[in-house]
Amino acid sequence: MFGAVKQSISRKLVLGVLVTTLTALLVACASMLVLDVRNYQTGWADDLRAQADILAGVTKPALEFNDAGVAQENLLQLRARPPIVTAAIYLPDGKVFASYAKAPRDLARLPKRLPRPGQTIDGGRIGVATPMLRNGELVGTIYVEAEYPLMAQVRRYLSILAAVLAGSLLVAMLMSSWLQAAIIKPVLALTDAVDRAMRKRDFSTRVPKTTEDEVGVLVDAFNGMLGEVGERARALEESHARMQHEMGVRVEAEEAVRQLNNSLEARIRERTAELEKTHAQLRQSQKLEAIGQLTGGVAHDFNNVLQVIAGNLQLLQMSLAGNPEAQRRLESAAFAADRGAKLSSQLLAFARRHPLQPVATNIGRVLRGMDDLLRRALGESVQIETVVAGGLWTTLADPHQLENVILNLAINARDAMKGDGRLTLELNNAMLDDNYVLHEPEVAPGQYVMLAISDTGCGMPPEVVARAFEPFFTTKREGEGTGLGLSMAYGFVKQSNGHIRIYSEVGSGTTVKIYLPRSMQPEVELPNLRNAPVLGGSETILVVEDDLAVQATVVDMLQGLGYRVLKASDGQGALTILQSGIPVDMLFTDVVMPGPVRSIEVARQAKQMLPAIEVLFTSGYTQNAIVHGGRLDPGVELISKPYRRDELARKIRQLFAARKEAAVAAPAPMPALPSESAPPTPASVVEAEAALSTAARPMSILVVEDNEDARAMLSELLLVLGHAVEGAGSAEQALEILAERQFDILLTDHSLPGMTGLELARTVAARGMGMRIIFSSGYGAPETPGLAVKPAFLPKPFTLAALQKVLDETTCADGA
Amino acid sequence: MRHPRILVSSAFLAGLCLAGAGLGAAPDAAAAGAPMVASEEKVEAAYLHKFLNYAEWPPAAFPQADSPYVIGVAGDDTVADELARIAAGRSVNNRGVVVKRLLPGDPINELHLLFVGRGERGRLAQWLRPAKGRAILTVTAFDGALEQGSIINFRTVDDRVRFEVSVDAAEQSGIHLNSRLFSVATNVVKGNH
Repeated sequence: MFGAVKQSISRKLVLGVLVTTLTALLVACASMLVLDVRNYQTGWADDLRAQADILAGVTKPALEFNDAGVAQENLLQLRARPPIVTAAIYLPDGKVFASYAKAPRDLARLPKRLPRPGQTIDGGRIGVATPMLRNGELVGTIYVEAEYPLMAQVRRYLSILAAVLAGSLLVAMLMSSWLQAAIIKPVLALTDAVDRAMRKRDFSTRVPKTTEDEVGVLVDAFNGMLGEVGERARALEESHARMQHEMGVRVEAEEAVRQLNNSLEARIRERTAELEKTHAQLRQSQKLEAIGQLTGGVAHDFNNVLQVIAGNLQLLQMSLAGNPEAQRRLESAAFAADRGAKLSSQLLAFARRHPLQPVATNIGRVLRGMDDLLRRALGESVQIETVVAGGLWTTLADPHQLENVILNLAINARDAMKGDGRLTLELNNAMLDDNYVLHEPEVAPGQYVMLAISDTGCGMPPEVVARAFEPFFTTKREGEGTGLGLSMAYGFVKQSNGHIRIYSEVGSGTTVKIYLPRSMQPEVELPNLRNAPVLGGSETILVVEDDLAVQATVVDMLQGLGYRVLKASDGQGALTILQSGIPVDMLFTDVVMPGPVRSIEVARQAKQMLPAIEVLFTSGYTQNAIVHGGRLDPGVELISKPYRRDELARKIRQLFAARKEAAVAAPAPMPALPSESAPPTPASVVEAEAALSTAARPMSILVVEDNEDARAMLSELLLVLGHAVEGAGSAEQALEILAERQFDILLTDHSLPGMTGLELARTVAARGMGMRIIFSSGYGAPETPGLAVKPAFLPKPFTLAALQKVLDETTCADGA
Repeated sequence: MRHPRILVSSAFLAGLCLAGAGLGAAPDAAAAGAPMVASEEKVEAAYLHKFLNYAEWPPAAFPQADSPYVIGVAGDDTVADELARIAAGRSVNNRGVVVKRLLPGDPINELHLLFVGRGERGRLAQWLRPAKGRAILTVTAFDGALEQGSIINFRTVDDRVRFEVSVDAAEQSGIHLNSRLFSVATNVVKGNH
């Protein structure tokens, strides 16, 4: 676009100069032409007139004296003037006196009459007539006619003019081009620079200043402007780039949004499915939680019922001591009650209220130890494959309970396979990442050890899988199973902070995967209790048992196993023996004992005196000082009552073996004992038999129990033990009674209608009446927040011995 | 110096001559036709009048600035009459013209121009003698008159009145003749006779 302007300016300039020059020249030439023609005209006329005058002067005498010859001669002088064509002298009367013609034919042109004075112009001729006077009298007229080439003259002038014009224009053109160079060049440089700057968008260029005139000022101004524009342009470009970047980002975002929108439906479907899955999981776990609570409640009530039955059976056994027939029936009934108690225990396991003793365990070792047991349980036609990955982590779990779980699952698998198929046990390390955990609300991400138990059985449809963990949900025919196996496994895994999943396909089989959290502690070697041979030993064991019947039984058992046995009835006695210096290898003590010295204290002092001593606690219940949150304190060994002889023997051997390992001592030769496969006499029966001793200190006890049967049974048991008992059906009634009378002990059910047992206990404790408080509950160990006095617990169902122990313990604590 | 011209004799030129003669006689158109037969005397009278224009007298010849030319005519009354008729009412060089008829013995002192006509042929010398050395333009009409001291002498050439001039005589008399007069003179005498 600047090119056009450039041409235009220079052309304009040239054109302007040329037009100006042309106009000026034309005006000048025209006026000159006019002037010249006029000059020519007048000059020529004057010349002619002068010629005529001269001729007149010369010819006058010839005229006056009538000498035509002389006149003719004079006229002939005009030959020297070629332009003069004709001349004549007229007499005043019009007659020609003398004449002259350059060419004879011109004579005819002469005026026929006396010409008037003055000049006449006629078609390229000019004629001048001059009168000849003598003393004012006309003597004649001379007439001279000459060629008058005015048009030729004009033409000549015009050609000259044209030449002059052409020359002038040429000069003007040269001048204008020079001028253009002088004037336009800086302007062109300026426009060039502008053009360059605009085209390249390069505002850093500067126009060189060559002149100091207006163009120079313009250049300065333009350079300044260019700088300004450059900065603005840079700013603009920056903002433009920024905006473009933002635009790009926006476009990308829009693209992403579009893609998102496109895939929205799919993602919504996916997410909905995930949500539904998660909800299903959540629902499942909530359902199991709810069922767990329900089950716990059922177990509680069931325990109450069992308690009544078992207690009454025990009372009957005591009162019908001499009747063998009755004793046999009572034993049978007691056995059934015991089974009921086990069932209840399983329910509690599902409700995660079972006491666990988790240790760092290598599940591979547990599996290997279960080989024989599984084979026996599954039968010959079921193939068992065990695949244990190398470098298996240890996990924190209760190995015995884990064995129970594995056994239960294996039995389920056997039933699913109808006794024929393959059972695969796989063990490997597993990571549960955030993604996996996303749909498992109760699982923490992290490292786990996975145990997968797969069968090739009939499998389960999804609706069955969904309910498989529910207690008493079973597909087996009545009598084939309790429907508690998976429930127990579920409770166990959850209580162990693990995770359990069932994968099943109808017709292909079922896989149960159990994830147990990894333990960073080194594996604790556990001998395979179940299959280890029942070994005895020659070590010295101090048995501390206040229940003399139980004490006698235990002493018999241990002596039968070859151990040296010392016995004490309370903590004080135990300490006396320990202080006597007799070497003792193991302290086997009941957790709850009468007397001022508590079992924990005995154990502590024993460890001080004999650092190598092993301590094994035993208890009829777990909710006591050494059990916290359903788990045993680390380093505390416990064998729950009732225990069987072989269980006790294995536990003792396990402890000694660990000690020997630690001490690097050679094991003493152990006589192997045949394993007892027959079920032992229920411990409760044994204890009941042994506990038929009345209390040393009869106490007044207020029993608060909403279940009338249970209250009556408990009252009777307490009366048997020699205590004074008052019963109350509710906390409110108990408070009324308490307002009238004073009691040594408040034995209350934990869950009561209206005011709860805990609230009652708080109220009583707040009155500061010095009453001991015992909670009795079918729920295991309830929390007792806000209670000033430390209460004792009596889990249902309890045996007479347990009841007696609690009472003794309470009394001891009172005494302490 | 002018030589006598031999004019081409033709009817046309003759006409011209006649016309020229008539010119001097009468200015009006009516008279112009008549003088085709104009006499020699009339032409001579006209010429005499015209000579005044070609001659310059010394200033002493005129007592006053506007003193008239005085022309004396002797021996030819016709000329005198004609001259008188021409001069009447006309001025030459702002001077009037007075014509005097002279008889022999008449003084010529106050004359400026003296014409001796054919009637005084015999007494030519007597007329010329007193004029000699005086500022008087003497005009004669006799062959050989110039030798006798006349300044201008009429001659008839080809039936036309012509004249001859003596420059010496003019110079002697102190009159300056216009050289243009010489161009029309048939003969201009200068130096020797």
